[in-house]
Amino acid sequence: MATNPSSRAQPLEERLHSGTETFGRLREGLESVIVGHREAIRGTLIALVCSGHVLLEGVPGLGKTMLVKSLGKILGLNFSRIQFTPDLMPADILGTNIISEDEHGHRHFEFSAGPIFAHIVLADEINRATPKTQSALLEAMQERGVTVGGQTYELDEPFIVLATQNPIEMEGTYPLPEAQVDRFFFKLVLNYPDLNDLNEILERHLTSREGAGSLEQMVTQEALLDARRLVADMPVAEPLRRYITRLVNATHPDAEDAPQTVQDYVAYGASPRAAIALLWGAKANAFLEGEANTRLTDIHEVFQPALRHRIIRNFRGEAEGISVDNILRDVRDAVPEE
Amino acid sequence: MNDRRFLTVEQSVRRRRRRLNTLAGAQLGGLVTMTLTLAHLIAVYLGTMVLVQPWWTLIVVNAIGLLAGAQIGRRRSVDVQRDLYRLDRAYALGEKLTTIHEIRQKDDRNPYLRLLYDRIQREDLNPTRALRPSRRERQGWTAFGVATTASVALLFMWFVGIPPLSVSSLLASDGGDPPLMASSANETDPASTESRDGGGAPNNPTEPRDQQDSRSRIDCDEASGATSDSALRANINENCNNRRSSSNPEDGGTETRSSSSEGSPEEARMSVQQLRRQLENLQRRTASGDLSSDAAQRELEQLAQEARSPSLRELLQRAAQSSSLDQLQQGLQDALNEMQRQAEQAQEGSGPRGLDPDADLQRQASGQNESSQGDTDGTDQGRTEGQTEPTDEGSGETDEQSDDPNAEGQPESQPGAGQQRSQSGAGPNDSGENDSSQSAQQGGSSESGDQNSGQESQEAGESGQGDGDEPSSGEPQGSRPGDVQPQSQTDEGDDSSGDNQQSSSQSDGESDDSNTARPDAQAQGQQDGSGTPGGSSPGSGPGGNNDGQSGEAEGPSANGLRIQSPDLPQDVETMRALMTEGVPFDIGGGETADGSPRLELDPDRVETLLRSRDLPPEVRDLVRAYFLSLAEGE
Repeated sequence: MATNPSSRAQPLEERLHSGTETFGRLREGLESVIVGHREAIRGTLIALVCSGHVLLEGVPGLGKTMLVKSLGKILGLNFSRIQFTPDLMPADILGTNIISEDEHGHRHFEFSAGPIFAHIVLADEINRATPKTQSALLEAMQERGVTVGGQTYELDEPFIVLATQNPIEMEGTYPLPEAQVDRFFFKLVLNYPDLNDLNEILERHLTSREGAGSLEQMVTQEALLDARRLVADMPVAEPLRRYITRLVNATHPDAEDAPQTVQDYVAYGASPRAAIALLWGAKANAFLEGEANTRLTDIHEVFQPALRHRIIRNFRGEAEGISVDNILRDVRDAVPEE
Repeated sequence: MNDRRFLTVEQSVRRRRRRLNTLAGAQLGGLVTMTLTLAHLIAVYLGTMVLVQPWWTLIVVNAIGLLAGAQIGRRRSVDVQRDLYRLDRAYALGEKLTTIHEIRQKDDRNPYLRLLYDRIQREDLNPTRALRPSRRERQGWTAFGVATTASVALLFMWFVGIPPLSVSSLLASDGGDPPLMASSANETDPASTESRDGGGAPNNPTEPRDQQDSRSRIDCDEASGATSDSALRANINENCNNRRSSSNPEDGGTETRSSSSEGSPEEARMSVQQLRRQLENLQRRTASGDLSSDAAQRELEQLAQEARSPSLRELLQRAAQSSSLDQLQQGLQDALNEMQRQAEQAQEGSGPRGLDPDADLQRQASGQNESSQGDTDGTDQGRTEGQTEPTDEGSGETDEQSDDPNAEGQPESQPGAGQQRSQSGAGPNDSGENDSSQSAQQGGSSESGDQNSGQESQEAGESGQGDGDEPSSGEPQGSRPGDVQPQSQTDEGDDSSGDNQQSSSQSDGESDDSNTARPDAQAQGQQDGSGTPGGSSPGSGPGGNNDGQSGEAEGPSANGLRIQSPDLPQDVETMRALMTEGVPFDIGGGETADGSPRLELDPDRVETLLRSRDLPPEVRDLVRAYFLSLAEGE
């Protein structure tokens, strides 16, 4: 090898260092607002640098909406919030053509963009909207564009949807179809804070009910896009790729190397999209950790968020209350790392 | 780290992997060849195959297998990236080496390459730490070691001559070829030779049966060398070779067990019971007319072959030759009676029976003055068939009481005579002084005849007085030294009443009855020329033909033959020392007129011995003829 990449590596080193430092500050900022939920914060940032959408699941009052709002503030990006209700229509999300009259008195249709046209969209309680509305949102998420009246409108980058759903109060809800859930990059679960975190929450809200009021923009759009480029270039060794494929394959109940838990309780395993999410999530995690290559531990870090919503239990699994996280844990333990 | 250092690491990883592949290939090749070798050695050891010659070919084959496997393994492709991945994990490098390797393969100008070099701080990357033989390979080496050890052990055992597993003997007993390795091992194994000669482990001296078997074994070599008849010698050698070929130590053990089981009291009893049932069944069918005379005769002939007791066999054969149905039924009844009588005797005589040389000495010591009396020796009687198990040897505490070197009884009392005796006897006694009388009554049907004493002998003698007056159809007995008279050739008349008289006279002093009976018995014996050997059947024996007054004139007894020759050593101990263990000769219980001991051959003992060896009938006849020829001084 005749190259001497030191001159070129220096900028890369700086870029990596800068990006890592920036997202470190971003994480610290979010953690200053959201007490606990570090995994959710990290997952959200990973999805952010991977241009992935995140499905946040948790009971009311855990800070889901606050997390998203804080992220919007701290990134200094356009932020919109859509409260999903059963009577919400697709046009309410995407926008619609309205008759507009110009200064000459001529009337014409003019597209009025919906709340989807933002960098960060909070789809609050997404499972309360009808499937028709959900499909409109999810199509926009996938296509990163909106088509209204035969006209397609591109969404600006970065574009990230953070949807929340409540695992309880299922009455009057419309659970997301599996195919649509699969389009979320990560599914992050927010659990109740422990005693220390809860005490910390109270400490922060002694004087103000709005804990996120003091956040300022910490990351520019350009820095975010550069971070995305760095993540895209992050190398992943072939043995790690093989490991990812083994992991994903092991979630299939028909696979030979699937653990017994999968064979017993899983109806459908993870899709290739899950493998991609795992790969990119690992790369992003390595970037956030300041590494120059993807490691095995990075895959482990993002394994559950990337696959959690892509495993469909069978009737037996649901009836016996087997959690997907337990299944994934068995998968990870069963798949050899070499 | 830099590019050069990485290449060095990569080379070392490559070398290490190649070495491991070489070892793995050698292990695989060696394991295959060693497994085949082990299988071959096992087969050889069990006698199903012949060892490849020369034996060191096995080593060469295994060496070739190792080398070929090593060469094949060395040429296997090396997955460097995979090994670098292991090295990464071993040193917790975060998969940097693997990533570097991949980046270098694709684009060595990638800016991440330098970045990764800079982040690897460690320089002492030793592939040996990461690249170790897998668990499977270690298990393979373990298996190879085990197979090698087993093969060496088998070879060692083969060379030393340790016998194979009992599977071999089972195979051999199933009619398969004799194990080659086993037979060859026998030739080199002193233990096996010892066992073959009766001194091996199977002959536990603590087990009387085995002890007897040990004594009963025939020394083929000696037998072969002792005869001058070339044809006979050839036959004997052939017989001995057959025995050797099938008597590796393990086979010997099996053989001993077999003979033991065959001769066990339980089996003997079962056999007798079965025969009895068959006879009773035959009798019923004959009486009811279901069976023709010819058919009954045929069945009787078959049953006669199965009968263990010579006397019973003779009865059955005689019945089978009956000309009329009435005679046949009468013969059947006689046979059943005989069986009944034998059963009673067996029950009575289940006590220890002497086969004790010391007893002979004691008899000699106490019976010198009575050497002119019967020559029969009870010591051999207990070995005859149809009697209770002749396992005990030396319960000759009462030998001096019976003092009866001539009290050699028949293995089975002759019909009629035994009954008479049992009727006249004082009752069954297993041991003790009265045994002698029982022996006398029963024609010395067991070794306990040596121990017999008093009462029954006297009574037998009494009964023998009358009977002895009637010359039986027996042949002249003891007409000359070494005269032979196999029991199987004797008939009822072989039993002389004189024996009983002698027995009674020898048992004098042991009981009041004997004392009282003695004069009569003695007188009768003198009158009848009794005192001849083989006087086991009072009343029915041809006592008149006995010239047993002289020890020199060794007459045929009903059960034994005696040899006296001036060539024999003059003292008992010397003769005993010269006797090879296993030769069915005993040193005579009585001495001759010149004081020299006599050799005694008990045909019944020979018969028992032959049966215990599971020899075919023709070989039995051959061996029997051999010993008879010896006894006749040929």
